[in-house]
Amino acid sequence: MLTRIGDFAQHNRTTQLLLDAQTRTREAQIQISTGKVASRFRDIASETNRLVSAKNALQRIRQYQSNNELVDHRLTAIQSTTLK
Amino acid sequence: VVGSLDQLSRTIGGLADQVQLLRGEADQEIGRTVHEINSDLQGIHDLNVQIDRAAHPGQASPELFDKRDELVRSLAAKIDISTYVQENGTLAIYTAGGETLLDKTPRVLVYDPASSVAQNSPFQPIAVFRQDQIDPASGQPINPSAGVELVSGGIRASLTPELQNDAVPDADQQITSRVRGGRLAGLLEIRDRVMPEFDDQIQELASALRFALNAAHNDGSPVPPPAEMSGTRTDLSDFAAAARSGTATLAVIDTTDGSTVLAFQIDVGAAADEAALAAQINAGLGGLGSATIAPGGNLEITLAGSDQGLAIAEGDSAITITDAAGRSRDYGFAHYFGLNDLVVSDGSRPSDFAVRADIASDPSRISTARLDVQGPPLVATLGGAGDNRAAQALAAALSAAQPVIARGGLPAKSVTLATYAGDIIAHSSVLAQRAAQTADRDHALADALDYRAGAVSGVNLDEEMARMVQLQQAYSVAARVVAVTEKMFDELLGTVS
Repeated sequence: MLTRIGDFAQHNRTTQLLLDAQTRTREAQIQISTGKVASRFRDIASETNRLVSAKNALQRIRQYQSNNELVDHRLTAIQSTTLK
Repeated sequence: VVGSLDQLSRTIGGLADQVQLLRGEADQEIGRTVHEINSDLQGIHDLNVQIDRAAHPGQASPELFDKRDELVRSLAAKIDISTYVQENGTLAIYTAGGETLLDKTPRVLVYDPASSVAQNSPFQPIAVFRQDQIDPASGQPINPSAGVELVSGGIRASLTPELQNDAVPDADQQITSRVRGGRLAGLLEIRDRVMPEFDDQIQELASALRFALNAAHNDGSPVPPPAEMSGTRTDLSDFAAAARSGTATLAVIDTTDGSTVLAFQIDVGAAADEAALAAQINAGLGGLGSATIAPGGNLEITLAGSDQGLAIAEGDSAITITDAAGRSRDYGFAHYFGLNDLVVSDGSRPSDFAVRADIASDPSRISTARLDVQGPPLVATLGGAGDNRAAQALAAALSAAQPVIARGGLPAKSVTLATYAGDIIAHSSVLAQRAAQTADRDHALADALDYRAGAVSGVNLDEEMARMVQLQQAYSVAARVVAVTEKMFDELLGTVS
């Protein structure tokens, strides 16, 4: 069956599709320039938990490192005072 | 540590406040949407009247129909409706649930937005009234119960266990909505389900955080220990009935040299009620101090000597309390009474908390040391200035798994606080993604339908061109006929003359 096509509707539709394509291009450009696949948790919903856990683990490791550095400084200070 | 904790309490409190603020905005928006629905209905009704005035349905001006279609489109975006064109060309509108919104006269939706929105504040119902049920002077219904409720009044869409178990009937608290689509349904969903559930999760996180921090902090003691302890729990009514067991150790410490003056144990399980427990402490302290239930309802222990401080080890003391939300938690003796809390409540919600004022102003009062208990014979010694076991226990409390109850889509389980916070973010982002996908899908559907409608109603240039060619040919054929006829007449006239 031949479908009737309204020119105005067709025009609107094409413009809409063009705009959609433009939006996708912009997203891709943002991905390229930032080097990250998403800028919001929403865009990586299924991976969010893993990302947050990893960030949490990273933070704890950093804290652990800084604690160790602190202990190291203190021990060095004690050593330098006792060796005199 | 104190600074970070203070910041954390502000962040969580701020987040909880933000949630209520957003609910308030959604509620105001609902009020505006209801207002717009009413004016759309009135507009459609006015056009209906004009269309009806034309002698025949076909005689009404197409502009009127166009205007009416525009208003129906605007109305359909706000609430799900079905329409029906009557014999005289006027339009009747019903909600998808079958409630009449417009037939001979438009109905009026009445909603009164809440002036302020808090965690458990109630909302008014959204009801449909006939125009004769509305007082024209005030615009309010003459008899508020005469209308048909589209959305019932209440607190939220899904009730929490504490709301289910309270004295108010559940039917008065639960909001049930018959609106299934449109902006109104979306706003109701945000106000009554999405935001309250997110708030539940934040409150659960805050509650678990407070429990873990205070449990660890009460089991330690600052160096030097304080001479006076004032409990933060003012309602001790559940103490007598609670399942209790074990013993806690109290020690009076000489603050000048850190030696133990006196140590004794109290039996939490054996005391009949809180007064009996205070009597046990008094007996143990002898003349060194006294324990009383203060007029405010909280337990207070005060030492008489100026150079003496009190240190407590929770030992195996356990007081099991099940709160209204269904959380069953084991409190130690000092933790139950809140004798040495790190964070205290400064509001009604779990997320309203702050670092205890005296610790905030003097961070050296944070628990760092532990009371070591050996015996029998009972010997209790408080770790000195170099003891940081209580501080380590505080840090460990944050990474230890603890039970949380099912809240807003997150199941009951045993998790660390950081994991739970991650779960909240993940849950919210999945919801956001799902909402965005649904929106995308619906947009695509709306676009496709729009396109089809345009294809039927719009002009096709090829079609018009073909029609024009057809007309041109018809014209030239007609011209030819005229020319032939003229020639025939000419011939005839020539013959006659």
